[in-house]
Amino acid sequence: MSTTPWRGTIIFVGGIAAIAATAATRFAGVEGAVAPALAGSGAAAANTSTSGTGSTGAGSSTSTGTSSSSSASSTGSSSPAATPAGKPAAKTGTVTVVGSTAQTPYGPVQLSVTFNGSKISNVQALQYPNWHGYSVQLNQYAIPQLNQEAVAASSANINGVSGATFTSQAYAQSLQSAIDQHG
Amino acid sequence: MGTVVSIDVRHADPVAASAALDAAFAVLRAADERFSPFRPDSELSRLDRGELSDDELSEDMRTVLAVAERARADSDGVFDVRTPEGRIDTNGVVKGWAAQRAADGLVAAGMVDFLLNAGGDVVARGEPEPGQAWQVAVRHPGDPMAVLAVLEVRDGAVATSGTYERGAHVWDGRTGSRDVPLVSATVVAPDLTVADVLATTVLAMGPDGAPWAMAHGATAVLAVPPEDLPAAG
Repeated sequence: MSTTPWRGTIIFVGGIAAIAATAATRFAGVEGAVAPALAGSGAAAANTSTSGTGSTGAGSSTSTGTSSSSSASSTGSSSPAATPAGKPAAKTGTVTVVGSTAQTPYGPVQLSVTFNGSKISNVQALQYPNWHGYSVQLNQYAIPQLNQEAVAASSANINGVSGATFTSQAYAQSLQSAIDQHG
Repeated sequence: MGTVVSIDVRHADPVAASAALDAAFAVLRAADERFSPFRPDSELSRLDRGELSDDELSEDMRTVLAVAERARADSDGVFDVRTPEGRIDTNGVVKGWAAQRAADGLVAAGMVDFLLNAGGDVVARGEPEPGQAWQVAVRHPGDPMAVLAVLEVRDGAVATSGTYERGAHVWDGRTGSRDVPLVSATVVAPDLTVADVLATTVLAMGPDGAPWAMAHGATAVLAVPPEDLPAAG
């Protein structure tokens, strides 16, 4: 088990409403740390189905998950050939989360967040709706959501993972795979 | 190659859900057959070899090429299905487009709450549980089991393009360079066809691509420059 703190630059543009947590992450490099948390989050009516598509057919399996309990048939990548990426060396640096104008239910919001490591040093609402209470709400919302605890807490309920296209083999080593098996 | 598609449907009727899932996977398989660069007999391979004239192209191929052409124009040539080597590579369009189509089919079949993940490109509809948004993590570029951010999505799409899984598969159409300026780019948009093309373009465009994508249909953009990528060991 290891943690992978993110201490680099992330450019974020968008509405804060869209993001539950960003930057400064944790997370374990092993399924054991993730799976138990995920196991508890499955909904009874979940139908999970996983299928491989691809020209080589490597690791592809067809499945339909239809029972009332969640059934996931993951692709069977036969070999655990893909090795997890090495544990990244933590680097210190300033994390900059730059926001541009985004439309929210409250109106256009522009947000700029700067922080060092996982510690937020500055949150500024550059533009916010003409509702004087909102800047306070914005700050209260943004700061807790951007810290490590928030990320860790929400991880238990992750439903899916977006990432660069993985191969059928790499899928076996992915967080999405862990979710499919335990969702 | 090949990738994996996961669909999480929350639906009370397992028979209906099963039929809808079968149809969704059929859409994806058909797209794979038509657009696979690894199948010598795919329409894409035949087009790439110059064996097809314009009026022989399928409706799907025309649609995909039209999406690509619009992206090329919108990005001043950064996005281009023509590779620096002179081939045609529709991968920057097809996966998002096909997955969005599969998702549209699920909606048409009456599925209200589902999360479709096609190899890292996600379409979210409805909610996993009442009052709760789908939690879509963005993968850490340096670690397949780590999370960089968690996005809350109800009706929307999340696409990520990055160099960490498949190497230099993205290029700048203007220069032909495969030395892209970002490690990964994630785009949230209402539609996955849009999100996928934008993510690929932002990856090739660099930090300036984030505001550019916001002006071209993105709801949010998350871009990671390489200088701070933790060393892979």
